[in-house]
Amino acid sequence: MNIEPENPTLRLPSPVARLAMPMMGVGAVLLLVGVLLGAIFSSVEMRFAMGAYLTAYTYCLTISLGALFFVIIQHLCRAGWSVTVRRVAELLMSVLPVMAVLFLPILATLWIGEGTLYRWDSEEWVAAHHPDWLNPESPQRSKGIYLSDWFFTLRAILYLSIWAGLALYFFRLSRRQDDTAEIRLTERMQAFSGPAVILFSLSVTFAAFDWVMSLEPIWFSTMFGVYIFAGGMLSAICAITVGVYLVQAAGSLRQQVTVEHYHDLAKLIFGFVTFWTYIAFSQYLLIWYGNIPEETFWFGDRQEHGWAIVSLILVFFHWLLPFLALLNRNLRRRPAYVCGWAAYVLLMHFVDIYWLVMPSVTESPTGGVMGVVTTVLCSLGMVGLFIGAVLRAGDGAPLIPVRDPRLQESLAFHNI
Amino acid sequence: MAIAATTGLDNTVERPGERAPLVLGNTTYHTITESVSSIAEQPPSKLWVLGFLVSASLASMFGLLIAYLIYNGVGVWGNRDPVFWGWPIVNFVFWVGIGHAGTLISAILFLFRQEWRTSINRAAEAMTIFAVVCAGTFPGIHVGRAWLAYWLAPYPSLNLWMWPQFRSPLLWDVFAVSTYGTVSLLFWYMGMVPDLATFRDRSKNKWRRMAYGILALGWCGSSRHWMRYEKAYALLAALAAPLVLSVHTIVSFDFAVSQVPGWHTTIFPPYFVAGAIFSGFAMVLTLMIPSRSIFKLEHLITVRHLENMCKIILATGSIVGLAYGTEFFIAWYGQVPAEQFAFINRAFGPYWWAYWTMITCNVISPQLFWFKRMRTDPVLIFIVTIFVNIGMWFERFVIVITSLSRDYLPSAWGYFSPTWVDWGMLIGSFGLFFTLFMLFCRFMPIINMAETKATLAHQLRHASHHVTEH
Repeated sequence: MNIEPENPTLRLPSPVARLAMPMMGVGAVLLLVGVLLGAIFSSVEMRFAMGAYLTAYTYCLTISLGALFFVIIQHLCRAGWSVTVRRVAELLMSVLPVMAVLFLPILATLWIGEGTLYRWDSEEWVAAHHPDWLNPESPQRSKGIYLSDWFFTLRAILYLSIWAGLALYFFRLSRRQDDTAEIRLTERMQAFSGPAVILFSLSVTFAAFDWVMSLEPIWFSTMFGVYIFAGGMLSAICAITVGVYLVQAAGSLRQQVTVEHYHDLAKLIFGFVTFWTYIAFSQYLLIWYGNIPEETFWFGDRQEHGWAIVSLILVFFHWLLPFLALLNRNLRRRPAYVCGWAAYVLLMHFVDIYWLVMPSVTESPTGGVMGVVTTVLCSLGMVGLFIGAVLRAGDGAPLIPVRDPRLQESLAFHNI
Repeated sequence: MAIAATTGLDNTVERPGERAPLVLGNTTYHTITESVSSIAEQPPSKLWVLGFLVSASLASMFGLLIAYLIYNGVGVWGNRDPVFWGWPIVNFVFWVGIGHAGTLISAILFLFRQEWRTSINRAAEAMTIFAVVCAGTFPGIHVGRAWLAYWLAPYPSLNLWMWPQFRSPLLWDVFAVSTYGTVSLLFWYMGMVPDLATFRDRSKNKWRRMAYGILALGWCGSSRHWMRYEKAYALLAALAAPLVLSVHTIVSFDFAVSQVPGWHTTIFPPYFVAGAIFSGFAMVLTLMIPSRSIFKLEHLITVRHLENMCKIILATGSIVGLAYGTEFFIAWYGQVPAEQFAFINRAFGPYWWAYWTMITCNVISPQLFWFKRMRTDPVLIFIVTIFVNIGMWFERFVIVITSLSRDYLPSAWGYFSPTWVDWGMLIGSFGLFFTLFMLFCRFMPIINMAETKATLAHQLRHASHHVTEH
């Protein structure tokens, strides 16, 4: 099998690679138009538009972060089977620096606006609802400081630099190995993967609290970080599956990624669908059962004004349907079938993020016709930018780590 | 027969691209059979007899204390208002947690194709069952009238005219733990059938042959037997995998569904599961480090196996640390006074010593495993695992006792003190656990011979590949 880096079947076919810049351009325009609709139409409001932006942003970000964790964990476990699909994951995570830039509009809502997206950002709202947060004498002042523009910004910079740093570290070393074939590079990545997990889990937990949970400034759930992680990991594995399938459909990697790899990816999708459900159900059950108003109102908001339908969609279509669809071993060994369900779960992940963010921003599940337009534009724009950036990173790089010392193991891999 | 000549090799070093051997020494299929079977065939050593006598005495004490408890009532425990869940529940959660490593090794590591599990899965599964036995005893006697414990089972009773409360996590516990016990027992026994047949075939005495013969279910090692065996094993692994999460999740619900500050928090399910795996692996190491040296199994349970388990302890210990931190952070962030008090009280209240013992043992001590020297020295590992065992018992102590002793009204506060019966039962449950484990070591194949041979075959195939390549 030809695994020379120059082999064209190991690269993005040029018609696909050429799409990178147009996709980024069109994506940026759509995103801009989507957000501007909020400024123009009073029926949409800036708050809704920025909520749609945050939804789209969190959606792409969680995929990228999941891919980062996937890569780290492969090194940590010295995994052999996954080498031929690891580069696709690396490409998905390599756009984390781009995601860092795309966070700027969220920060702008704090510095330019006044409670445009986060309620705690409005002094008026805090003074009316939680005056103690502003009172220097009160012990609750510390929460006011935690949820203040500058401290929030500082933490966001910290999280984003950790992720961009980790992503670049693993991506660059892996790319360097394509040229040098140094085994030492694998050893370096392995050695760093342990501390990387610690950095990753701390930053993701707190980013989940800051960016999504604090949309409802008094609501809290210790499980929230795990919930975001579960959805991100699931959608990253789905994105890897879809990515690999599309690359194969375009003519590359046909010999390197086999049905065995799809089978394993499908098992992981099945596993993480179940894990996501486990986390989501536990969080719901404990809050429902405890029945304490400062916790239950969050689910209450998601059961009123038509949001109940969205909640039920998550139960039946984020969990039950893919769970049943991926139970069968023979079906898990059909690449097209697995790819179809992976794409489906990616759609459900969007519903999940929408359900997390939007009820804190708007009462109506759709926001009316213009609301739907805004959401669709923001999401398509963000996803377009995201995919464009991934393609740009993939242009010129082999789509498997061609000199990875465990590549042979992955190529020869068989499920028993 | 091919011989994997790996004497004196350090298999904790793995060059990327080559897999380090999992079985060391001049090991062949025959020597694996010999070294495992001989443990059960030779007369017991003095050390074993001494250990067994001590454990069995403690187990008997446990039995006597249970009789004493049933005769006198639960007042002999330290359970008093406001702490009605005292040590018995602490012990229950502790022992259920211990079991989880066995299921993780036999089910989840199997599904993840971690071949190193083959040397340790049998003993770990046995440990699971014995831990479940210890765990199940405590709620059974905690109901007070132990002779009515069967009321927990849902059946259409003609005397009571009522069903158990299906909305109570305490009932879910009955289902969760009994399912767990059943599946673990089946998994353990089914996996042991080929090895029991080996014992049967090697038996020189009639009674022994008959006993192992019954247990081996007529296994003859035909390829049809093996095919069914593999299928059943994979199915049971898939069934057991969710049990690794579900059992301790439901145990965590016992606490988290309530409104008691320090109990009601959503991180409990995954945090309890991580803690259970953490404590379970510590106990596996506590048992395996002496066993491998007493029974001369260092070539099968190698330093690499120990190192891998240390890594799992480091990972799960850090998850537990993250959960402790998250709870503290959210208690502050949530700004609920009772919740804030509960956490300050844990760390600086009358039970501060329990809290800091827990933090030191569970969060700080496993951090030593960042260093390879620590992960590869059996004596150091053994010491750390003892710390982890202590720490995980204290974790449950902190959760159960400190939260109950001071909830909302200061007038309803109290301080829990254990009685001599509490102490005796804690020690006695260890006696029961070790008695069962020692009997297992004496009469059952403590290493999965069949699967370890498959690992060896795999290793040899790879070795010959390398020879032809170079």
